[in-house]
This record gives sequence, structure tokens and C-alpha cells, in this order.
Amino acid sequence: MIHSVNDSVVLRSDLTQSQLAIWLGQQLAPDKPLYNMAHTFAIDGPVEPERFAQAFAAVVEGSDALRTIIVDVGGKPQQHVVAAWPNALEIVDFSAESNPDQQVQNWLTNCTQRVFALDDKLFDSVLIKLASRRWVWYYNQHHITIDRIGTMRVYARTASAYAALGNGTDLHEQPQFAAYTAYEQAYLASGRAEKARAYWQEKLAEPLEPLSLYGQSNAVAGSQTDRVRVELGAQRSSALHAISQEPGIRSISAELTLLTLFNTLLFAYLYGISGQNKLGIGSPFHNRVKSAFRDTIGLFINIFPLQVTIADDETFGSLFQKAMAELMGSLRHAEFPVAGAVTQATFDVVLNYITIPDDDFAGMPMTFEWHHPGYGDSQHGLRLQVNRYEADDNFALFFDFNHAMFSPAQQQAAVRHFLRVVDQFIESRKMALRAVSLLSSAEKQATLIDFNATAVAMMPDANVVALFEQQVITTPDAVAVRDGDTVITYAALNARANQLAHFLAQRGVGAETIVGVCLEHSAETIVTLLGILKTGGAYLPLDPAYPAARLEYMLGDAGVQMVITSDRLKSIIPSDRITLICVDSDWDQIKRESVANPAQSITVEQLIYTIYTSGSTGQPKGTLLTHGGLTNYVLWARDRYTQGECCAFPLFSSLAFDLTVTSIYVPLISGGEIVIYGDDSEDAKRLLVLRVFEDDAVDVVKLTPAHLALVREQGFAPRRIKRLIVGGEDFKTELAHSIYEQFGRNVAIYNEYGPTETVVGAMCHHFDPSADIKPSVPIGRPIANTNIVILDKRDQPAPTGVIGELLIGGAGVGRGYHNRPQLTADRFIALAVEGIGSERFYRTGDLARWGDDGQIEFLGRADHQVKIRGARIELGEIEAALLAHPAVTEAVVTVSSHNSKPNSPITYCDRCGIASNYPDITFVDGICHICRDFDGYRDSADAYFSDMDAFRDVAAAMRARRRGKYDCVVLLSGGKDSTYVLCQVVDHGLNPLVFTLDNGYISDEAKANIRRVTEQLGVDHVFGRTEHMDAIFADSLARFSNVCNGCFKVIYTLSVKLARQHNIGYIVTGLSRGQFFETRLTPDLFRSGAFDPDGIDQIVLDARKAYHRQQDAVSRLLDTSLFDDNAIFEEIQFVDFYRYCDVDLDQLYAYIDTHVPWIRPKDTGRSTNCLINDVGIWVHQKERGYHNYALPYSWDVRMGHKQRDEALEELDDDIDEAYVAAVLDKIDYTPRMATDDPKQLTAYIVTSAPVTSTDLRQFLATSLPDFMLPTHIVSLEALPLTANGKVDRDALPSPHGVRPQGSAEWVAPRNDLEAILAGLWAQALHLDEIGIYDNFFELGGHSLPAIQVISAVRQQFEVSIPLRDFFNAPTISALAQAIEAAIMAEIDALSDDEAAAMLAEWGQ
Amino acid sequence: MQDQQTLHRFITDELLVDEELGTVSADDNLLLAGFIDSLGIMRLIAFMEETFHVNVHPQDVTIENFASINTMAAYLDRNRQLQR
Repeated sequence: MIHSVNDSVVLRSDLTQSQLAIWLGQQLAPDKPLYNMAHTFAIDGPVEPERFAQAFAAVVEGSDALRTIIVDVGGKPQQHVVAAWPNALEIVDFSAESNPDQQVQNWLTNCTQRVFALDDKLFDSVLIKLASRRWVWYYNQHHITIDRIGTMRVYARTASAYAALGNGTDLHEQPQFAAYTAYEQAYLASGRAEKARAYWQEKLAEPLEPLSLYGQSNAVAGSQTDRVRVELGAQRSSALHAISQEPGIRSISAELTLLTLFNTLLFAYLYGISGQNKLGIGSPFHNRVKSAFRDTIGLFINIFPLQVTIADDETFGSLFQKAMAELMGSLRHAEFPVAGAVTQATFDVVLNYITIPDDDFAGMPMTFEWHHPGYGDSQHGLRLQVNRYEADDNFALFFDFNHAMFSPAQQQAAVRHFLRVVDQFIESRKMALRAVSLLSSAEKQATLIDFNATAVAMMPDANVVALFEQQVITTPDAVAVRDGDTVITYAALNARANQLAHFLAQRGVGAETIVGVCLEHSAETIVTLLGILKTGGAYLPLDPAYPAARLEYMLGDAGVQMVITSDRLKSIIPSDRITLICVDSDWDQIKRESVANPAQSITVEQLIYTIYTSGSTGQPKGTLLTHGGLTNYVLWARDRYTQGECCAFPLFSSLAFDLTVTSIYVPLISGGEIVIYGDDSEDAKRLLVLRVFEDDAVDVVKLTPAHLALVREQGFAPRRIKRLIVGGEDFKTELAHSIYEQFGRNVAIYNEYGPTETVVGAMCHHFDPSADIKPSVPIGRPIANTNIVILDKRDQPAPTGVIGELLIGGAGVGRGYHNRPQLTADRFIALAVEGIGSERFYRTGDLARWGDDGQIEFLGRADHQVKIRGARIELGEIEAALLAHPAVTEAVVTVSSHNSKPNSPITYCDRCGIASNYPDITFVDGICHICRDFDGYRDSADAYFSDMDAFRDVAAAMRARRRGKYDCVVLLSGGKDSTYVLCQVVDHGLNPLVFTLDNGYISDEAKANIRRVTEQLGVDHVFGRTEHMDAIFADSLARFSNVCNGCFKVIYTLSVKLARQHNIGYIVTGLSRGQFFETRLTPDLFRSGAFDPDGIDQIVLDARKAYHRQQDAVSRLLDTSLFDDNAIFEEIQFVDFYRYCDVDLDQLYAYIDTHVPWIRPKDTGRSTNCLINDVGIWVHQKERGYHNYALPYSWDVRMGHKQRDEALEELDDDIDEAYVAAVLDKIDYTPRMATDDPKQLTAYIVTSAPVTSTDLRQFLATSLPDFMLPTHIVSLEALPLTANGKVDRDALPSPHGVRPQGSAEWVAPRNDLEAILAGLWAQALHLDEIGIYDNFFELGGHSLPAIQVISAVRQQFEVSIPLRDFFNAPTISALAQAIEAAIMAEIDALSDDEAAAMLAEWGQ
Repeated sequence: MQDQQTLHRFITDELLVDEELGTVSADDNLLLAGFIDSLGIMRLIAFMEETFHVNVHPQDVTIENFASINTMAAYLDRNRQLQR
């Protein structure tokens, strides 16, 4: 369509407030048809096109709004009314086409998305002929001048003008929009407006929490939207109409009632999916405040921010009243333009209620349709348009979902959820919102019924004791327990257990008696457990490593009167009121008892064990588990994990962790064997898992992800171990993959999920290396006789996408907590679930949701409980322990995480070469997830890139635009890529002005290259400089851990200035395709499906605008005012040369080597031009733990611009650290230290008297187990508080890099060996300064970094220091002595010749 | 009658188009006749509250109370009595 700007302006005025709001929205996305209102009016009848054109022209002539354009006058928009639009109506004839309807559809798809220039005609009007009696009038109007009621007036006016032309009557004069513009100005100056302004400002003073739409907030929203249309149909529609007449619902007008009714439904739905009780929506209202304006064509619309607070007992009916009162309040202050009153967004969701008229066109039947342009305001996650059709009074719903926030599957689910709300509203207005169920019947079937179809019949009297005794009969001579060289058969084990049982029974042990067990791992441990169970009694595991105070508390709390222990350990049982039985020294007495099975009558409900877990109130709590629960788990686990074989399981983990249960009972009821791993030293016990893998003498190992990380670290690849059961904490897919590969893909890995309260495991997933691609391995499906439910915040089953709490019901649910009736009642609840029935459920406190793939997505803890190395920890318990110290007045404990991963061996993607230490990268079959994803959108990505033909067009455009001497600015860094760009630009006949930023670190050889190349090409060159470069580098390092971001921003800022100065319209960059992906093109852009290069350009442009307006060192130190005006982004365009040019490295070098005197610099390390680049790389590695070029280079490989080997070679830097240190000193930047351990506990304390962290740690160790001791203790003057007076956890300082206070006095390394060791420790512990008497574990070390230190020692000194020795004397001084001793021992063992040879080698 | 006249003046001045002036009688059903829509009623209520110093509860905003100038005046009387 061609328009000519009409210069004869008849009227000028400022924009109204509503117009201004739309204008601003359009400025934010100037190339998006956000505000197109495209209508079609299909007319069945013999339309006369000439008469139609005449009628429409009359309407245009009679309406100022249709002749209004928006003109930028000195940066301020004004509306100008032009005198006329010649040929306002176009006529298109499709009637000769073979399929005119299809033609129209195709035509519409293009036209509805047309982007209007605001300073031109703001509508398209086209009369389309399909057949002589079938016509479509297409009318697309930009919202800024006319609203929807206005467009309907345009139609009505056109229809009556058409009719009038037929019968010769006169047309009424039309009211003009200018009257409203004047009215609004007068109103805004009035006292009424003041009152209204006060009303809105007070109402909107408190911003609402962003709405959580299926766990997403509109922070990720874009402007692209997807429309889903749903007809409510006659039945639902008439039901809603009937309800609108009910007393309590019916209001002053049907329109008001129905609008409020749909607002109510939307509020109820939003409450349902978010659980948030303060809700806001935007509600457009016509705002034609005087009937004088009712027929005016123009823009009147006002959007009211409606807010309600949902009460706990809110019903549909009471919510309706609230919504009505809210709307009425808004209507009273309706005239006031709300959009202008508040700057912050007050709603993420909009409901637009529309009546679709049932009109004819001059007596001919007409069908109306409103076409969606596919874009909308990016503030809105969801827009719901409700159409009421006057023709049949039915409703249709149009959901416009923000494309970036809703997957297609989630869109469908959302519509179903909304309809569930509608149907329950129709059923009863008295229904409580808490009770509204959002699940569709299909979701109910899938998530409640099918998922929980786990019923497996169990013998009513089955219990582990009976199952074990049955096994004894089956395999009496098979090995049941193996402890070093000692083996015990099933028969012998049973005999001993029976003797103990008889012995205990005589001493009063029976059903519901709790007996403490405090033993090292040995065969006696198994005898003891079975002995206790055979009496019908239950056991309480007491870890000998626990502090005495904790053991004493547990014994007292559980009411234990008898503990089975050993001679060596009995002294640690603190109370003398307790009967102690030593399995070693008392055995002579025990073995006199009968070896026969005692008679037993164990019931399902009988207590089997109690395990204490961390408690938030400061004391651990005892979980009570039953025989029925354990038996159910063990039988299921036997089938799942032994698969009919007799498997050996290692016993290496503490009995006090319920994870260990699997390795004891599963072998004993299936003819397998238990292999005992034990050690006296507490520190060495933590590493027992490594011996299990070293020995490789078992089949199935149950362990935590932290254990598995140790196994990976040590590189084991066992032959016998074939199944791994991983439990206890979140299991990362990346770890599963690397273990799977390390084990030669010959291992089955199971992820088991379940809290202690419901017996070991409640859900399980068999890891699938090809299908499991999310960051965490799924937790799978419920085990036998188990029900899993996710409840949303309203305690309703959560629908797809909604985050809720995971609850476990079924056989495994324990009795609760010993002596904690209130806590038990809170966590163990009776729940009636549709499809499952009523039963007891345990509320896990874990968050989860149903993914649109039908799997449960595990999202971690809901409270302050955390898991560290497999152990569940209540931070409150540690805080309570700290506060028990007399000097501590305040205490907060946090868990710190860091992005980077433990120092596991780094692997590289087989395709792109990206390293495994890149954050959140996962590998499947050696391929990273970015490459795998890329396969899915490669075509769309390719479509974004163009070719050199297109560049020739760009070059032509540059020449055409040329105003002065130059066609473009070319950014030349002096490197190979930009040199090639410059050559190509010159080859295309362009005259560039070449710009280089001299950042103070450009290498001399690069400068020489720049001089030679520009001279030979005969182009003008300028260096840009700023004295602030060092400050900008320091700022860039602080923000991004690199120097490039700061440098780039200066380049863009100065080059745009240069271009403007010389009136140049284009800047050509040499960004590589890899850099595009790193900085601009996120995979989401391509994955969106509806791919659109222009759309991406727009997003990139938007990003660039935001980029230049960001507050940082550049905006502070340089003049960036030229970016304040959007016009600069139109005036000067960036052309990324490599978007057009597809050239590989060899070709590129071949070209510049032969065409220009460019010599590869040798003075810059890897980079080809810049000396500070290495500093950025070094800092990035240090602070973030990975290479900042890893991602862009992987993209270069993916795009075929680099070979994988080339990329890997270029990333393998040899950085001169002395140079780096000197530069960092010069620019005054101190790098921060990263931490490798993803989770560490940090305690922040305020004290009334000085106390050292060593003292405090020792104090804590008297009541807390070692896994609960904080890694860092930071003493503060006061805790930072939020405005609400809560501790501001975000404002707590980072503990990393700080050597803990009050450890041993700092003594510097005395010799080279100690200095090297201090360096190794610093690396492993991420601390700066380490004294030679500092205790490794007090500095926050644990087994993983200890292994790193010992491995490094082995590599560097070729001596092996036993870990146990290190654990016993964990200081640098002691380690140095041990190394010297080991080296001396080796030399002693050598012959004289060998010793001489070795010394000679060292001498080199 | 005072109230009716005040209401009539506001309605004709503020809410109606010129050509409707004078055609509204105190018994005309303003809502049914389409003279005033819900937005107009709300403006009318704001006016009533300000001018007559009454408080109009959202639940009072019914067709029965606001159909015509006469029903509005009757509502005003009841409202005043209640507030006394």
C-alpha cells in the first residue's frame, strides 16, 4: 500500500493521556504491530464498490480521528489532523482466483501485521471482492487514534452512508474527536481530576508482587503472543447469562454484571494457579464519559487496574462482590487517565470484554471478525478477550498467551484450567475458591490415578524377619555377611541373631521397646539389628561420631533404656541409667541362649526403627517407622534392584542415615550378601565409599550424589559394580552422565527419592542417558503401594505447570515424630484425594510440579531446610546451637552456592568442544545440550544469516544513503576478523572511515598491522581514545569478570559519535557469528518456531537501546547523551558483516595473507591484537571457573567458522600471571575468589564479647554432628535487615576468600615446599592466605578438597601420602614433613645408581 | 423536588447529548432508554455523594434505585433517613 503524506494540516494538538500511553508502548517496540486492530466485515450481497468507496470517503471526510497522524515535534508527539486522504479505500479483486477464500486468508496474514508509520495514514481500508455477491471489507486501524468502539462506529457510519447514498438521504454530521481532546484538557485542570488522581495514586501506591503464571513471571515476557480461541457454547453461555440475573449478582447494567462476572472468573483462575492472594488485572473500559462522546470516532479507552485481596474463606459469590465494588470504585474515577498516573506496571494480565454487534450492511448479512496481530504489550503475560456475540448471546474466549512464557502444551493446559473454573462457578457461587479444582479429567486421570496405580498385593503377615527366616531355610549355607576374611552364612547369622533375641527378650525387650545401637560396622551390627527385630522390638541407630550431647538427647527423647554397643564404644554412651550390652564382651553370656527362631507375631503397624533428623527448633526429631512400611520398600527394592539375582551390597554408610537400610535388608531377604566396610577413624570413614569402588567386590551400591562425585574424582571404572542407587539429594544429570561414561556405559543408575519419614525411598527413576536432558535427573514414579500428590498453595492437586508441595501417601508413611504430637499433626495429614481416596500423607516440604512432558519436576526445599552431602539440615537447628553460646547474641546461617562445578576432570563436547565446566552444561553421548538443542532449530538459525548477495544490497543502500565523504564506519580492532571485514568493504567499492579504539593495550604489532593495512587500502583511519579506560576495565571486570564488555561499549559509544559527526548512516562490525550467539541471539529466539529475522532484529535493537542506557562506568565517565533519543538508533544502523559472510578460518587467513600486509602478531598471546585480553581471561577463569570465550568459540564451531581443534587450541591459553598481576594493579582491580563446592554453610553472628571461630566451632561440635558445622563463621557488627525488619539474607557479605578468624596464628611458609603446598591448599579451599599451622578442616576443607590436595601432591612430588595420615595431621607443616619423609624413604630404597640418576634428573 | 431538579440538571448538563436536552422526565427510565450507561451512573453517584453528603454503598447501586430521577430521589431520602 502506498501512502502519500498529506501536508495540509488543519489542526494540531497534544496527545491525550491514553494516546500518550499507546505512543510510549509503541516506542518501546517500534517495529511490532502491537496496536493493530484488524477487522473484517464479510458482506453477503451485491456490494457496489464505487458507492462503498464514496461512503467511506464521506466518513473519512467527516471524522477528524480518521485523518489524524502523530508527528514528532522536537521529540514530543503531537496529533495533526490532515485535510483529506485521497483514495482512502483500496479495492482488490480475488474473484478470478481459483480459491478466493484461501487467497484472502494469505493476504490477511500479511496485512494484519503491517507496521504503521505513526506520521502517516493510520488505517488500511480495503474492499475485497470474492464473488459478485460475496465481499469482505478489511479495515485495520492503529489503536493510537481510534479505539474499538470507535472502529465499530466507523463501520456503522460507513454502512449508513452507503445506505444514504442509495436512497438519497443526507448523512448526519459526525461529532469530532477534537471536542474530547479539549474536554480532557479542561478536566485535567479541574478539582475533580485532582481528587481522582489522589484516589489512583493512593490505590496504586503499593506495587503488587509480580504474578506467578505457572511459575513464570512477566520478567521473561516478550511481545510475541499466541492466540487460543475457545467457544463457551450455548450451554455455558446461557448459564452465565442466567447467573447474571441472580440476586447478589445482578447489578445496574447487564454489561457491568457480565464484565464483573468474567473478572471474577479470571481472579479465581489466577488465584488457583498462583496461590497469591493479592491479585491485579487490567480492565479496559470505554470511558466515553458523556453521551456526547458515545458516537465519536476516536480513542477514549482507559485501562483500570483492578485489585482484589482473596480471603482464606473467599467464595465465588464474595469475590464477585469484591470485584464489583472494585470496578465501581474505578468507574467513579473513570475519567482520569490512569495509565499516566502510575509509572510502575500494576498488572500482568488483562481482561477485555467486548460486545460483537449483530449488524447488517445496508440490508445485506454481515459477519464480523477481529484479527489478532500476533503481538501484544510485553508487560502482559496473558490477555483474555471475552466476546459476547449479540447474534446469539454466546461468549467466546480469546487467550493471548505471551509466547516466551507459555509453551504450546502449557497454553492448552491453561485453557482447560480456566474452563474448570468456569464450570465450577456455574455449578455454585457458594463454592470456596480454595476448593476449586483446576485439574481437567485427563490430568486427574494421569497425575492422580494412573501415576499412583502402584497397588501390589503383599502377604498380610509379611515382615523382614519372616522373610529373612524364610531365606535362611532356602539358602542356609550361602554367605550372608562378609567382613574382611570372615564370612557368616545365613544359618550362622540366624543362629546368632536368635541367641541375641532370646537374651534381649529375657531382659524385657519386646514390641514397642526402642533399643539403642551404637556400633562400628561389623558382622555384629547385622546380628544386633536382626536380634532386636526378632524380639518384636525396634532400634535407634546411634552414630558413634555424634557429639555426646546429641546422643544423650536422642536417648532421653526416645526413652531408651538399653543400648547395644561394644567394649570400645561403651564409654561414649553418656547415661549410667542405661543398660549396656556389649556384643563382644557379653557374647559368652549371649551365646548360651537358644539358636531357634523365637516365636514372633509382628504386625504391620509395629515400630521397627526410629531415626533422628535435624529439627528447626534446635533439637533433632525422631521419626517413627513401621514394619509394614519397611517391608513394602524392601520387597519393592528387591524386585527392582536385584532382579532375581543374589547380589552383594556394601555396608559403608552410617546406620543413622536411612539410606543405609537398603544395603542391609535387600540382600538379606534375597540370598545376597552384605560386605562390611568399616574403619575406626572418623575421617577415614567418610572415604569408605572409595574403598568400595577400589575393591569392586559388590554388585549394587547405594550412595549419595556427593559420594558419587568422589567416585568420579578418583576415576574408578569398576567391572563388577553394575547398579548404583543414588539417593539423599538432588542428583545432577551431568554427574549421572559422566559416571555412566566412566563406567563404560555398563551400569544401571537409579535415582531414588524419599524422606526418612516415609521409609528410604518413595519414588524411583532409572536414569536414561538419552532421554534425561534436564539439569536434574528426574525423581521418577512412586514405588509399590505408594501415592504421590502435588498440592498447590490452596491444598488442591496442582495442575500441570503449577508449583506445589510434594506429598507422599501409602504403605511407607511412618507414624510421625516421637513425642512431637503438634509437629506430627502438621506434617502427617489425612487427605481425601479424588481417585485415591482418603489416607494419611506426609508433607515433605519439597517443591515440585508436573512438567508438560508428564514427569514430575523436582524443585528443592520450600523452607530453610537444606541438604548438604546427603544430610538433611535445618538451618534453624544450627542457629539455635550458635545462640546457645554465651557470647553469641544473634545468628543467621546461610547456604552459599556457586555456579561452577567441583574440580572434576574436564571433558569437551565432541562436536563443538565446549568444556564441561561451563555452567549448567550437560552432555549426552559426549554431545553438549546446546549442540543437541541446536539440531532442533538449526534451520531457523540459518535463516537468520544471510549471504554476500544480500551484503551487496546493503552496500548499495550505504552508497545511496551517503551524505558526506564516507559510506560507513568500519570498526577495526587490528585482528584478523576485522581486517578481513575492512578488505571486503573496500572490495565492494565502499569508502569507509576506519575506527579503532586505542584502549591502551593494543599491541605494537597490531598497531603496525592497522597502519600498513589502512595505508595500502588507502582508507582514512582514526584512533578513539579515552583517559577513563582503566576505570572502565575495572568496572567491566567487577560486572562481568571480563574486559571485553567494557571495551565493546566504549567502541560502540565512540563510533556512533564519530558516525554522527561525519553524517554516516552505517557502522560495520566484525563480530563473529559466535559472538552473535553469545551476546544477542539466545536459543529461545529461534526455538520460538515462528521464526522471523525482522523480529530478532527488533529484539536486538531493543536490547541495544537498553544496553546504552544502562548505568555503568561508561555512562558515568563518557558522554552518552546521544543515546537518550531513540532517533539515533534509526539514524545510525549497525551492520554485522559476518551475518552475511560465511568464511572459515583457513579461507580468511589465505585471503588476508595474500591481499594485505597483515602479519600475525606474536606479542599478544592468543588474541591477535589486544594485550589486556589475557587479563580478562585470567580473571574470568579465576572468578567464574571457566573460559569466557568457551561459549562464543563453541558457536563459531557450530556455525562452521572454526574447527573444533582450532577452538580448543585457541582456548588453551598460556597466560603470563606476572603481567596479569601488574595490569590488575595498574587498573586497581582485586579479583574475587570463586568456590568450587556448590554448597557450604556460612554462619553470620553478632557477639557481645570476642570469640574466635575455632572456639565457636569447638562449642558447636559438642552438640552438632560434623556435617552441620558451618564452613565459614563471619562475625558482624549487626545483621543487615530488610525494610520489614527481617534479616536481609541477600545483603550478607560473601565469606569466600576470607581466612577464618581466630584459627591458629598465621605463620608464613618457611621454604619452597611449604609455599607450594600453601598454593595447593589455596586452590582447593579458595582462600588467599594460608598459614602453615592452619587446620585444613577448620579452613572449611572436607574430603573432596582433601583428595584434590593429595592427588596434586602425588603428581607434583611423585609420592603417595595416605589420606588417613593427612586427616590425622591436616596442616601444611605436617604435610611437608610427611612428603620429605616419603621422598627420603624412596631414596633409601633405591640403589646408588638409581639414586644418582634421580638426583641428576632433579638437578635439571 | 429540590433533589429532582439538582439531579436533572446534572444529568442533562453532564451526561446527555445536546439534542436529548429537555426530553428527560423525572419518570423516564434512564437505563432502559439507554440515556445513561453504568459509567454515567457511577459519575452520578459521585455527584450525589458530593452534593447531598450521602454515602452510596455499592450494594445500593441497583436498577431499582437508579432507574429514573424519581427513584433516585426516593433512594436519597431513604439513605438520608438511615444515616440520621
